[in-house]
Amino acid sequence: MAGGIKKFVVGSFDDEAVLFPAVKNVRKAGYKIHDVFTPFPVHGLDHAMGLRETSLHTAGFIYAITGTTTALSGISYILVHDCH
Amino acid sequence: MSNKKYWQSFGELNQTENFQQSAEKEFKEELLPLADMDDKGILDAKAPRRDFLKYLGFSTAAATIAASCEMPVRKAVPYVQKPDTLIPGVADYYASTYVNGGDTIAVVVKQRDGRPIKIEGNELSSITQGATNAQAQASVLDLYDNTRLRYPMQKDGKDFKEVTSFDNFDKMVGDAIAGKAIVLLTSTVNSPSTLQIISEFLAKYPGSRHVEYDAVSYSGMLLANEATYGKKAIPSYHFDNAKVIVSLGADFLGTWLSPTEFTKQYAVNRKIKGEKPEISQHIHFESMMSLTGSNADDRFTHKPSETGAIAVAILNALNGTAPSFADKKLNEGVKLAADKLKAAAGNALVVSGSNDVNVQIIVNAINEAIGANGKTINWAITSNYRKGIDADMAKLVEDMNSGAVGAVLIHGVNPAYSYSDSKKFIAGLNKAVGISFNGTMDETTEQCKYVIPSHHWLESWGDAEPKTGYISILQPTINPLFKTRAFQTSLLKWSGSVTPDYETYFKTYWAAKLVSSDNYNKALQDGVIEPTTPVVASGATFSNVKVPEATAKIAAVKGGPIEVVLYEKISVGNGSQANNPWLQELPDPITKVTWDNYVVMSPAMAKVVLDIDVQGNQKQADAYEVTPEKPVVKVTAADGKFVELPVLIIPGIHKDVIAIAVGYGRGTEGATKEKVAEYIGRSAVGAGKNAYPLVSFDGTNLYTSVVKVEKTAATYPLAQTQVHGSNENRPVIYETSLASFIANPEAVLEEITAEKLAITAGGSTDFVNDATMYPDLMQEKPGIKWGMSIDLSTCTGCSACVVACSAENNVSVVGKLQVQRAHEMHWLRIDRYFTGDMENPDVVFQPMLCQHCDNAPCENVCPVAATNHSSEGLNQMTYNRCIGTRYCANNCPYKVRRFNWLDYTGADSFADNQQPLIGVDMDESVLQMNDDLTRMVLNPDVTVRSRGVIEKCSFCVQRLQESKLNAKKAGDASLIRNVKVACAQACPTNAISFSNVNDKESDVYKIRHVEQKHRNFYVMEQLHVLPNVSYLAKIKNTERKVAAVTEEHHEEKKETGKKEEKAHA
Amino acid sequence: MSLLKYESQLREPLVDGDKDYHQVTEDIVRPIEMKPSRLWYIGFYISVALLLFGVYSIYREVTYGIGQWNLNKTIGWGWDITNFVWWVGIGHAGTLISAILLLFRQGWRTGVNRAAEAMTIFAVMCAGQFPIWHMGRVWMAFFVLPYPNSRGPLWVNFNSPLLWDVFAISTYFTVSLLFWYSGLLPDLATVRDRAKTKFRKMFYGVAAFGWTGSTKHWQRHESLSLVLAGLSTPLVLSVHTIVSFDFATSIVPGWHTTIFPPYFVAGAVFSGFAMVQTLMIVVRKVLNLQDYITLGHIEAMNKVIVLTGSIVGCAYLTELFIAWYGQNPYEWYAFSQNRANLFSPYGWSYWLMMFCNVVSPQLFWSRKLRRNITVTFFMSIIVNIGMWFERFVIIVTSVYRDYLPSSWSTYYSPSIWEIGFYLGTFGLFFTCFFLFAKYFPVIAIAEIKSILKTSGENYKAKMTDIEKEDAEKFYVAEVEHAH
Repeated sequence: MAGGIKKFVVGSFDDEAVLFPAVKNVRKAGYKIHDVFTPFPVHGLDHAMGLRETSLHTAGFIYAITGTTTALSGISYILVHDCH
Repeated sequence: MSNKKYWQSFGELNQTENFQQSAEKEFKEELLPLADMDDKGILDAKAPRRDFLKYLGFSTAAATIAASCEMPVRKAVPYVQKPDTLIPGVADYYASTYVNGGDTIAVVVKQRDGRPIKIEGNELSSITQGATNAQAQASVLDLYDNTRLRYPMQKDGKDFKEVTSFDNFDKMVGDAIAGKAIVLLTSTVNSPSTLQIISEFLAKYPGSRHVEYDAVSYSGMLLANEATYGKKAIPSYHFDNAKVIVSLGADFLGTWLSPTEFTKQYAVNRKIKGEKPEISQHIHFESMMSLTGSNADDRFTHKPSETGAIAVAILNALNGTAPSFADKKLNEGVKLAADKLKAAAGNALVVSGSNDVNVQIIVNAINEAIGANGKTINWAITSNYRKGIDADMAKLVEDMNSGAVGAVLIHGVNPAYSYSDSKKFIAGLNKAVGISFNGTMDETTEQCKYVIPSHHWLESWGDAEPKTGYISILQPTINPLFKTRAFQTSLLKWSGSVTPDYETYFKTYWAAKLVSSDNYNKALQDGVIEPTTPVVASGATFSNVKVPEATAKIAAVKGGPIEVVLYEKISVGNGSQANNPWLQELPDPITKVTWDNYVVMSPAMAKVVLDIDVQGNQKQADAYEVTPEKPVVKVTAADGKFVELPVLIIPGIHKDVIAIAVGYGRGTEGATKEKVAEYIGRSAVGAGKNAYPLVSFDGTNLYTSVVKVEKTAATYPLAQTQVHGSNENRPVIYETSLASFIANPEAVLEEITAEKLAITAGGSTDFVNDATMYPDLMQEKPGIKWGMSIDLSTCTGCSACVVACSAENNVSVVGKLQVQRAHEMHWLRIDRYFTGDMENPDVVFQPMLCQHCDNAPCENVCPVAATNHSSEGLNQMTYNRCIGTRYCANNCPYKVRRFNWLDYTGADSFADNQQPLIGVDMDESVLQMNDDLTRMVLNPDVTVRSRGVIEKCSFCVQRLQESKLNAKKAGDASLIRNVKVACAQACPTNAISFSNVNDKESDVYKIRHVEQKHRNFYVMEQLHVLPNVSYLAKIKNTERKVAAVTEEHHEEKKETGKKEEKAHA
Repeated sequence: MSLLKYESQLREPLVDGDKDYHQVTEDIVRPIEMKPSRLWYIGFYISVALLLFGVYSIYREVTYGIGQWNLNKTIGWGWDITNFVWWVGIGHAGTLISAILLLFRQGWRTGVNRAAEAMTIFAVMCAGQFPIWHMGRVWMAFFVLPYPNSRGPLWVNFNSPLLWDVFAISTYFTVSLLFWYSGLLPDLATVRDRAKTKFRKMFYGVAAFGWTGSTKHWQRHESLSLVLAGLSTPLVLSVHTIVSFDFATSIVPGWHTTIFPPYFVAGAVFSGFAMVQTLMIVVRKVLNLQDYITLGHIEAMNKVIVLTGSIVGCAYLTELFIAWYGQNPYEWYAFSQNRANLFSPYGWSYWLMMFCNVVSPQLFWSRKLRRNITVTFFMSIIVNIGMWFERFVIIVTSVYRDYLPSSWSTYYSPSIWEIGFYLGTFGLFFTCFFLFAKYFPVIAIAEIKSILKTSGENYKAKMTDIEKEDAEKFYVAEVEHAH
């Protein structure tokens, strides 16, 4: 961070077959890959880049449980407790 | 109500066209020119480009706007000074008498805030004993009929103009009739005070006379009685004393003479009591199926021309001569009738509906031979229902045409419509000065020079003597709505009497007769004055002089290949109530058709004439059944007069006979629809065709001649409320013969019992508790539990309950077009099933209403819980909550839920939703029911339902609540035991019982668990919907085998499950 | 993962023509960037006209009442609910393709999933109209929502299947919409990046939610797709199951049938695929996308059609058999008389349904007919006619003659406003579809690119001569090869 100057290297690839080894090699060389932009999902690229697994699945599960619990307790309250 | 007519501008006074237009449009806003698109279709409509967005916005947001719009505030103005006797919200009841022509029924009028809204029977009358019929129930609507004449008028060119005061009118009429031969032409008059006034009037005008004319004549009977008993009168009949009843075409439960009285009597001997019941046997000979015929134990069909021959054959059979008809069934019938009549030893009665004097002479001879005279026929009390003699009327018509009559005063009759040769009558009337007292501008009044409408019976004072010595009183229950005057007052005025009006005359007359004012007040309160000790029945001396001549004349009668029967319907009767929407929409009990008359035809004749085979060809039968469009035939009488009507194919009519109802096709010949609507009324327009012209006069009697029937290319849609006539062997109705019932009372419901044993756990017959997965929920039903029991054995199908229900619960009239589309709203209907022999079937009537199921399939499917169950066992409908998904209606196995398809009540959230649909989807009769005057008939205790919601029978919950309040006030819980719901109260045979079934002393509890437990069943109980309405199986007193669910069916079911033979109607 | 993505070289290519990545973008985005064709305008205006007629029909019905329709006291539901179930059924194919086929890694779905999902959303929108406007008092429709209110403890009735419908349909619509839109994001970004005008830049810019194509985006996008696919999969089964409960939980003979849930789902997939076929055959022609929606796609869908058609046929026969075997006289009457009896008033509709749904799809056992565009097109229409009649038969022939013979109905045929409402939903559907085809990429560009290498024609060039013969014949060899 000396002098506050950041240096970026930008590479362009026209085939994922070339991209993969490049990513691996760049990482092996100790560079931090800022991001890779692709026009379509390249499977395994996130692993190759060392990205963390997303927590969307867990979040989705928690939302689902919350929703189901709310619905069931609502119905049960309406049918059992708030009815005459 | 003031007699003055106020006007605000000269325009209104003169009724200019501009004024009328602007008056109509006074509050109308030109919101959307879209109305133009209705008629021309979307393509031709001119929609300005600029308005396009408006339309789009409106149409997509219409719903939102409607939901958020504030409804206009309608203020109800309270009494400035409240009458002392009136408690707002509490009804008053006044005894009065329903009078229409000679028909007389003692009634109690329910009045709310000064408006009569409901008619009930008067239980103090020993004649009708609290019974009413459909016509009496509906007559309260006639009071609010918008076509009622509102003031006296005189002819002015083709139209009429108002005569501004009664004094002017009296002067004009006085001048017009002075010194002329006057004829007073009325319906049968049985009011003693009126008869006295008439005689005083006639005395004042020498050479004048009184002619009584009945649209449907009983002349033959009166003349026959004169010939055989020496009395030109009709005796009292005692069907309650008759163990055997033989009717030769007399529809005594429906329309003959005094059906309400006879129904009450008939029911006495038809109730099943005890383990070994005895009921009367009813044998019926007729040409078409009448209401009475459909109730008969044994029924035989014949041509109308054979009526006399059958009477003679019965008379001969009594003496041992065997009948010799070509039709073997008729021979059996005659033999059966003769045997039974003989065996009854005087406790028998033969009646005939024939207007042929010879037939009636023979009938009298039979009654004499079986000893009925003095037992079931009571000459000690003659009845005064009908007094018209055909020859008198014929003579009057001749005299009028010859110019011998100077003036004709007409009251309560309409011969220009109902007389067989109405053209001749009209021609004659035009030669004389015609003065009409009729309340509406009917066909006859239209021909008169002066019109001075009389009051409706609900506005009148009066009396009636339906039977000699039995008086029934009329008292007004509302101030006259219009500038009308009692017919009797006019006669008093014109005869120069010192008595100023009929009210005074009436009071003086009865005050004198009843001696004390207490007696007078009691008579008014009771509504009837009857002999303190019952009159002992006695006969009259019979003379058989005329019998051989009558027999000879009968033998000379020749029939034709096709014969016609003209009959009255229990709804519109002789046509005087044709503008009553309740009656027009009341389905005929046999044909289930509303709003029209038609040619009734047997399946056999239909096969020949129409080439439609409804019994052998399922495809044709189905096609005929499922399309309202029916082929039209042309019926031509012997004298060339014809009528074109649609055909209704129905079993039970003789194969060579067609039948047509009279009372339809109102309106002067050649008049435009608009004119008929204005004069006769919006409900009468387009309802059927007039069949009276098919009647001919032979010098003594009116009769119907032989006809020709030809198919035309046209079709006509009939508005039928039930199209399928068979019960398809389903457990909906049960019936059996008396003998098998006595032999094994439990056998009648064997099928149900077997099924219960099969379905329930452990073979129990306790369906309620043991055929459920939730037995605990079924146990405890504390407090009140409402229940109804309907006896199929005594239900005659008279339909008084249907009209009573409509009146009590503000049930909408939807009009012919809507009934055609099966949109009728009746909460209570009478289902009619044909069983047995399809040429001459047995009929079962089943009143069907919401069954108030404890396990109701409608309740759990409603997404918004708009229908739910009360703790008293009522299936409740919350109109405010209903969003109209109609799921409940789909899921109701009884199909009793009714949906407000269109704005029938004028109570819609969207303004003017009726006018644009008139003539397209709606009839004007709907508008008629919604005008301000007619709406006065609405029961304020019952919500008027708006478009888009479901409605149905509530068990008259307003009456239940009232009875609970009364019981609470009185501190006597037993007061709610047998509360009267509208249908049960109207039922003349007490076939409907209603009560709190948790009360072991109540009627329904006793019927279900003690008295009639062997006959008690629930419709389709297997569905386990747990209905609160139970039915009692029908018992027929016949040797034939009767069963709604046939035994062949059981076998078939076991074998293959093959399709049963179906009956189509 | 890569093993699952393996695409046999023996399979025919999913993308025809010598495509590279750029060419794919060009092909698919071209219609969006061009002026619409004459054909598009004609179709669009016809659709809008139908839509307006539908709006007017609804206006009539809302203003004057359900009496504008020919329903009656016996037949409470007719065309309204028939059309509802029919459209919901059609709405099944999209989610099945996007969710279930995604989970099963069916590569061929990429060519059609976008359009099929759009079709689903539009079909559900159409379907939703019917239960709303069939209410007698639609302005009170909000009563079906369980909201706390001041009217005492007044809640909706959770026992009612109609209420289940409310939740099932709204959930299904929401999830389908999310699925569709999240799939659109990368492609919207592509269109945005190519946009020339300011307006287009802004429109697609906003619509693309700032998509860059970063690996992180792709990672989350893929995860979200899987989550939504997991959510949608039970929905595909549940929605039509719940719709079938409208009938199955009632007591009407002919409705009260336990077989309904699976039978309705199969029928829904059946009609949904038929509708996808109808649309795809038109779209590939009009938008010139034959290279992406290939005969292979059409054949695959025809296979689904013959499978589900046969399931439906099997269900019809089972239903008939059980009606007889169960010996419930009312149910047997409904089947033997109301339906199977050709001479009864509605007998024709039952046999029309049988012919369209059971007999005619059997043609697709022939590979030649499966790959024939004309035959497929006509068949897709016949199937949807058949499936419409299936719902009509179930609804109308059950209630018109049910328990009480006294209430058996007269013949029901729709009024002009009932027909107008139905046509109006066609208008809505096609208006939406035309707009979609004009303004959105009808094929998932990114997904096509991701399979281009394994399934594109230029990569199949390596196929040996033998392999170029009938591909199916070598199925066994293919499996062995794969291992």
